[in-house]
Amino acid sequence: MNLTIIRALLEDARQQVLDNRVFRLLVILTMVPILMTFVVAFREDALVVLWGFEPIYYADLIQSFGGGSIGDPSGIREQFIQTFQSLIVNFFAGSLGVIFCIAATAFFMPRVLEKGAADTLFSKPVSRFAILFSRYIAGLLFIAGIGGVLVLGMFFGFGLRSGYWDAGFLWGAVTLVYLFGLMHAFSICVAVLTRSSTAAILLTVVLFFIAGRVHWGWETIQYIQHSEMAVLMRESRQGATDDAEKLGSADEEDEQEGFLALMLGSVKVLHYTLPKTRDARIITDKLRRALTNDDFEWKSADGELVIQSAPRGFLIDTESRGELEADGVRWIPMSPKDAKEAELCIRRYPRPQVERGISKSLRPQTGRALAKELKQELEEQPTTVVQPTLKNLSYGGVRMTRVAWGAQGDHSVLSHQRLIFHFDQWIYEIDIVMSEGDTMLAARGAQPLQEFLSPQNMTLGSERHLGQDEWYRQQFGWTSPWRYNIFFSLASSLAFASLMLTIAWLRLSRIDF
Amino acid sequence: MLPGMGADETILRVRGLKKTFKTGFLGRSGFQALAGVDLEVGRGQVFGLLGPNGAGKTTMIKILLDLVRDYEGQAEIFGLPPSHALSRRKVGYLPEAHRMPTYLTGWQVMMLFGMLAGKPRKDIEKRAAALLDRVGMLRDSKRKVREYSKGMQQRLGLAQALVHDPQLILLDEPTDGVDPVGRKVIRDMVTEAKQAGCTIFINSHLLNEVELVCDRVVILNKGLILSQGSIEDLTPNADATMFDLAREVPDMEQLLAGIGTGYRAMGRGFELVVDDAGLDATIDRLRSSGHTIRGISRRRRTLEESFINLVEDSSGGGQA
Repeated sequence: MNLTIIRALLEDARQQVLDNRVFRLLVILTMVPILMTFVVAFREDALVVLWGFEPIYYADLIQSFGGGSIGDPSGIREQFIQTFQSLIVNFFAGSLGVIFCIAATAFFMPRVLEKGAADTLFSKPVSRFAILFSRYIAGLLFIAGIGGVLVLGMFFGFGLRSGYWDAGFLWGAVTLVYLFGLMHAFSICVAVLTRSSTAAILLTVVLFFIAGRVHWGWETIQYIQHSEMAVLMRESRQGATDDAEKLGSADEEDEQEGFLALMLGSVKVLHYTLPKTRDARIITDKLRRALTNDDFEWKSADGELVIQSAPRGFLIDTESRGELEADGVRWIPMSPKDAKEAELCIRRYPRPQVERGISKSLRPQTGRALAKELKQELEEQPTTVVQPTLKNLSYGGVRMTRVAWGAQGDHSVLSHQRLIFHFDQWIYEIDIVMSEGDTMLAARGAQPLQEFLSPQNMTLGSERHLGQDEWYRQQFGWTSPWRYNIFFSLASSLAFASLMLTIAWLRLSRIDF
Repeated sequence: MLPGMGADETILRVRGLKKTFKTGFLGRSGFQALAGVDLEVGRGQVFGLLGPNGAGKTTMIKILLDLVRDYEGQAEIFGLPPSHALSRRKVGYLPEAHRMPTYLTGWQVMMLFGMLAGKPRKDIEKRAAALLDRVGMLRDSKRKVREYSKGMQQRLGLAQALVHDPQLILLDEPTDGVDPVGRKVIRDMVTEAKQAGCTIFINSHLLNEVELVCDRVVILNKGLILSQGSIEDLTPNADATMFDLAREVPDMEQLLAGIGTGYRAMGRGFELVVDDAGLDATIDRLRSSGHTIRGISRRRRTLEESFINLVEDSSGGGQA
């Protein structure tokens, strides 16, 4: 097959897509969210509709939806934009859009196989596989056209109107093509086997839902079996189960367990066989992070504390990595001239038990109480040249107490800040040290610190308190064990698509037109 | 140049070609479309493929184009088996009841099928314009195929079959749905293609059309070749003698009473089945009654008559 034939097949695929009414309708529909990104500006504190015509403050918006007040407004704009992007690309395009596209492209292959059309096309010196594959490509062009317009339009809309240039968002279009590619392979297979557009649409939509549900079921099984939360819940229920066994319903439970094992086994087999459509959204996020270099900066061994990115202008001190309970995790300035005395350090230790209240019962110590103790100690120390002050702060719903003081360093007076808070059974301390008059942090204002402590950047209790979705999202990665591995997900899903196309080709090669 | 293509060599060859289509539940029963066909077609011939419905004509063409597989026997085009894509490179095909892609314009159809045959776009553009003009479709070539009438689609179909300058043209009911003027154009194009050295295979039920353009004819029935040869071979002289007179005679049948059989008036003349003595007697009677004889000839059988006779004989006289 020469280049001319390939060009002809691609051109034919392009014409088929461009002539499709549903395609044109979907392109028009994609203009709606694109226009929104041009009409609405996402400013730091508010949405501005129609170039200042109507500002809507994020705080008001959240409260109108029943949310609480925003303690820390940093990162709220990004949250709003990313939520909007996710709503459009993941929900509308990734589910409804894909179903529309399945319906719109399902007739591509059956129409080729119709009597009269097939005779003309297959009598040309082109292999049947090439024609089959060209119809597959036509479907991909279909979704790529719509997805490309949507994602590029929104990308430029956010960039030009809101100054939010997020190249990682462009992965959304690739993921849409990937997701649809999996479904379209199945649609082509059904179309060749049945020569019916209706059968192709119905069965593909059914597969789309089943694959999603099976994968969700498998995630649930994994979550129940392996997440810390579920382990704790199981342990707490263990006693009740033991009691039930003593009551003598063992036979009935054996039957139930047999059925359950069968169900679990079926879900697992189906999960590993079917395309993992639910993973597509997470893969997009992971790719987005990879592109924007936004993978997490540091994570504690127990997964309780995750830092997404280093404080601006700092990099992690590799010598301190992973020692949260000892010397702490330390970030030092990137610039060598600033590296003399400035640093940012996080450490933690178990909450001490102290007698509290009238009953004098032992209770875990609070961060605020420890901050007060620190203030008293500092006031008595001779090296303290600037008297300590105490201030309560809240970052991402975590209440902290900040102690700020000045102390004599080797070369100059050092400005200290220590943020102390308790979380679960731990006391956390965040130390920020800089030379007095050092412009590094001061000149940039509190913004870098706010960003560092924002819930988007610093996540606490990330393993234990995660729901199923978040837990799976954390397990799923490029270097995870094979069942949670992105490469395995991609490879097994693509293997499914390849199998469908192979079945279609084998059937097609045996058809007498 | 395709393998095995000399000046006088065989373009198309089938030997003992058999094909049974599986039918019924799980393909347990079958229908034999071809029961062992042998055929050889050389360069520059216009071949008529005739036969009643279900005779196996289209099946044979489709086997040659690799549209039908799993056959028995041998089939070759340009010395290559049909499964070889290259064998179809120099073949133009107009299927019966074809459907061109409705999302394309006439011009795009020409480009698509020309390029699918492996011809460069520039070559196709030149030839497409000329062919569309020839079939009277150039003016409508920018319209979508879905807007075409049946006749227009047929003209476009013929143009696309020729767009890549094929050396073997297979036409299945080429004049189906085409007006008389269009038929004349198609006939002329077939003649021109023949003069250019193409081999043309025509499958048609319009036997007078076949008679007008074909050099050789193959008649198939029930998957077997009943007869093949030139038009002259298949349309031998009939028993009847035709008399052409100077003027019409109303009571001619009475005048010729007792001579010959099968009298049939034909314009100013008539047709009569007579032996040599009867011929002399007829001439004598006409002359004696003052009629001027302008011509006497032995009538040939029409292709249709030969076809029906052959098919009825092979079917035991029961069906056509």
